[in-house]
Amino acid sequence: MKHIDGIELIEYVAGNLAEPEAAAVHEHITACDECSRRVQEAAKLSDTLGLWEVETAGHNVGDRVVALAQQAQPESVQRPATHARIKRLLPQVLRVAASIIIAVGLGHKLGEYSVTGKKPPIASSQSQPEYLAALGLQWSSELAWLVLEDDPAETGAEQ
Amino acid sequence: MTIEGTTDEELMLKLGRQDMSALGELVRRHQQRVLDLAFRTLGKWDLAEDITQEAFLRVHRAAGNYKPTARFTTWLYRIVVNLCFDAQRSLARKAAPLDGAALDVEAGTDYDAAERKELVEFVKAAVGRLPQRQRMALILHRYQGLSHGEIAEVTGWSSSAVESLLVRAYANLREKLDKVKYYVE
Repeated sequence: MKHIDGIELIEYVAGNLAEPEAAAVHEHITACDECSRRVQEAAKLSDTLGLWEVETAGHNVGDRVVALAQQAQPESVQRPATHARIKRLLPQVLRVAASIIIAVGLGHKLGEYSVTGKKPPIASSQSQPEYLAALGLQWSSELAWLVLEDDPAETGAEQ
Repeated sequence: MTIEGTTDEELMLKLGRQDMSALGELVRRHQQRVLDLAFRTLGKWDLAEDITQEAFLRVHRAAGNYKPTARFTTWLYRIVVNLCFDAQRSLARKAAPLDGAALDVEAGTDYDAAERKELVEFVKAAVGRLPQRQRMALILHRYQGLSHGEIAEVTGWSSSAVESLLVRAYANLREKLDKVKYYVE
């Protein structure tokens, strides 16, 4: 006669066997004294282990868990939304930036022609450049020499 | 449909849409079992509460990617078992979680309330002295009501490994308890 194996006995006592297997074990132990004794011992052990009860009712982490999860929620919810908004607006922002750059570039170029066309010819006697006058500097002042990039002697020679 | 009538898996999908009432309901349904498992494994309430809290926060964080391919409880148990093993590793260098003095139980004459209490202490100590994997398998089987197949699913151990762990765990406990008169009588 083949006896009940260890795990089968444990699962039988725990009530975890499906009906056909449980019925087969039951039939066996009614005919086998040794296995009947083993089942009784296993049941006694299980009952004794069951004496250890744990009272969890006084330990409630629910409020703490929900509060902590809610604190974390804005980060997890808003970050993807912000990223999505940036991603959506990025082409528009780039288009506007490109338009501004082109407009400024064109304006600068056109303005260059316009200023050149209107610019009165510099008299040979005029010794003070317009941009120095705009800065309120005198041609002869020493500070003007520092501001000027070109050597006034050379500028004068060109004129 | 009321939230009480909603399945765990449906609650997870709600939680994935940031419905915090779903998290509250999941905690309400399962925290006692999680606390029970963590306390029996680690023997300390503060650790058990920390693990329970962390387990449900992980549930919240993972809800957005949750796919109801396995039962929610299996998935939750997996999280808790891993957290318990992590905590046990941290405690490894510290004292045994349960007082070994309880093993020196004197034989008594009657099985009264005091003896019963002493026997409970003995059981706690004996379970606490099992090797780590045997203890986890036994707690999941005897106190959480999982079959050996479900334990294999939760822990990731093979079915034959779980069978072996359970057989050895129960044999070890029987050997220890055979020394106690209240148990033998």
